[in-house]
Amino acid sequence: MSHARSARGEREELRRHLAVDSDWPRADGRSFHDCRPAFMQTGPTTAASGSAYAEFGKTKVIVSVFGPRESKKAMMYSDTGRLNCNVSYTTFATAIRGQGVDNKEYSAMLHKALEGAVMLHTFPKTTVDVFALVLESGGSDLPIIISCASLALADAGIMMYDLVTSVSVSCFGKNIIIDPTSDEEAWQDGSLMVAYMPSRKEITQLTLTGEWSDGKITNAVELCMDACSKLCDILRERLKDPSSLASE
Amino acid sequence: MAATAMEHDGGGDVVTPGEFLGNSLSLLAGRGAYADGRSVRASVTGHRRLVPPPPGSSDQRSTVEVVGHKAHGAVPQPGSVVIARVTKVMARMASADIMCVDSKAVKEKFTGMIRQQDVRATEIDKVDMYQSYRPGDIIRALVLSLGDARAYYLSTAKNELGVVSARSIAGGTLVPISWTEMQCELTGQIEQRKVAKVE
Amino acid sequence: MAAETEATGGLAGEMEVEAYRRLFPLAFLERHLRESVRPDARRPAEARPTTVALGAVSSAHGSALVRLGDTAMLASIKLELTSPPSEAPDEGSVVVEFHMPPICSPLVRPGRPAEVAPVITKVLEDILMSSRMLNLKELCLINEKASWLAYLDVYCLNADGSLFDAALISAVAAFTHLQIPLVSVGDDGRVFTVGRNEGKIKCEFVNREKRKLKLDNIPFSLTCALHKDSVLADPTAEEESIIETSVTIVLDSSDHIVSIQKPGGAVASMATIKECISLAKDRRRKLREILMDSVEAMEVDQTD
Repeated sequence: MSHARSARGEREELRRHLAVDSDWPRADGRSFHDCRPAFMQTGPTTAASGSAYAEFGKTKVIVSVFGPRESKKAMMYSDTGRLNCNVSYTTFATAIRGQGVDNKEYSAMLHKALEGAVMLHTFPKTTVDVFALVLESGGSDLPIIISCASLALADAGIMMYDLVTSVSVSCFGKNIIIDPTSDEEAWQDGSLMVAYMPSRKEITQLTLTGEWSDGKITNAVELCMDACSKLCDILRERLKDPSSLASE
Repeated sequence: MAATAMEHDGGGDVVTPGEFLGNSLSLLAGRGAYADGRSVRASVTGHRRLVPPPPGSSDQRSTVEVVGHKAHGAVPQPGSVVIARVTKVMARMASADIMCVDSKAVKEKFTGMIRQQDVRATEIDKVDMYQSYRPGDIIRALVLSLGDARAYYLSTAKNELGVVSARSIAGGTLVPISWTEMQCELTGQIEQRKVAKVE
Repeated sequence: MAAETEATGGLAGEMEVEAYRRLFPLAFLERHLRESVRPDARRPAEARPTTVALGAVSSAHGSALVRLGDTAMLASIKLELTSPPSEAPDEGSVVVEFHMPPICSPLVRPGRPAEVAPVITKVLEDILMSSRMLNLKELCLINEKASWLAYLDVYCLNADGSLFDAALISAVAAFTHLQIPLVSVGDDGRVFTVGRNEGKIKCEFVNREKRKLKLDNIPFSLTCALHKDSVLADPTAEEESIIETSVTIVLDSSDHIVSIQKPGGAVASMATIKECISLAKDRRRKLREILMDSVEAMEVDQTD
């Protein structure tokens, strides 16, 4: 199994470099603070009220938004609207064939990231369903799902306080790298994800795992907020695109 | 030039949710916009439009609206006029599937309910539900309120509300002949309904 | 069902077209059919524009994205090494699953799978085997020791009618695209696949020549909705919701009938079935062209 051992050795070396050096080109050639090019599109699902497709490197996600529609859970009458989120993966999204079941943790986190941005009081008694399907998982899946969902909600015309974009960083030793791929996530010491409303400068969600020092956290959060703002510009461009407006 | 462009529908710039539209000291937030402290921001994607203040009003601020393109589908609200298809008729109430809200088709139907006291304006305790509607009738109704968990409360207690289209027992079209009667085109048989008066 | 045409009463004039369409869907459709046209302006015998893009799933061994009008299907094939069963030591196997995730339709909810999904899974499986497109012996690697288990997953990304037709094209296209990974035997006698990146390492490959499946008898299908005297090819979701009766014809490359499915609905005459078969033959020729074009396009890309 000599070939497998040498691939493992390569990864170990890359990880050492990421942890110690100040700027080593990553596997895909990016520097530590570069995000992958973001390709986003509105309207892939005509059956839905609104939808969006996002492709960041190898991560590909579709989000469909249905509603506002009648809540199925008839026993829960509510004066404000309900937001219902669900994330699932295709069986071929990851290298090892998955079961294709719902990712309950990501569904809950997606909900938390979006609920602060959606004007629930504008659709009382009804539900807006946000369904995400990860076609291929290439790392930073949840932040990409969040940004894609925000674009889909805007495409559906759901009233929001602001768009939400999200980015995560991994830390390796003394370094922080942004928008990690799945290989990079596998070796990280810790991770930080931020979901942000850029016009209002408000963070809707912040998740921290692993080992971090105080100084690094502040840097990481600022790095994320800056990347989120830039990503949000791309979302706005997509929404203003004459071809997406003409479809109404 | 900028002022006239904004008066026309769809003449203004395209804005997206969260974008800054102006200061709340000089602008009111209208449709598709909201006030957040000092700022007025967009809440949907669409064209920015300014509406001047009504003449003689104390507040001289214009209202900024975001209109067109990306508004979400029709949802019943109190005061909306809806078109619904009756699904069930019972002793004290009838259920109906709301298909259109303010003449816009809904993407997915909503459940509505007409209670005995909301069928017509007069003699409401003498209402016979079975002589007001039958399953399959198309009715025009007003949304009274959000109702309960199961259904919106609807009312047909106005002249222009009630049955607008129906089939007779024989399967023919029913033609309105008074505000309580419709006649089958095929058999001439008369059936009772709460008929909507169409001018 | 009697025509709803006259029952619209005084509403038609004051209502928007979209509202009328929602309230009187049958009358709306029949008004179009009287002019020999459908709500989306197609002629009754016309199928929607169809595109096939191979290699849509980068991590799969074979994949395809198919669009049939607005209906979109993503098919992926992943091969896993396994030991062949004792009853068939010289064969591999195929596991088929058709998925309708909640993104594809307002009728599907998480935790409440679409009723039609397992039906399409079963029919897809049956057709792929009975058409003899696949020879399971080709999926055998080393007799009695190693064979391929092919997982074919077809995901509906947007449901707008004719789901089976689109699913079949995507499955067939994915098999056409399929490239069997290189395999080597280790010092301990264990067989393993060699990934693309590791091809530089010196290895003895077991299957260097046998990388693509020989696909004879590729099946293609056409579903037609039947309403009174009209035969509507490739129905949309709206048409399927109004018209209860449909027929699906599956043909192979020599225009032999692989299967005819007519799930319930009203009785259809032999003449109608023959008309559907004739439409299916035309469709098969068109689909084969589209598939061959996409294969050529892919080969051009690969030589660049």
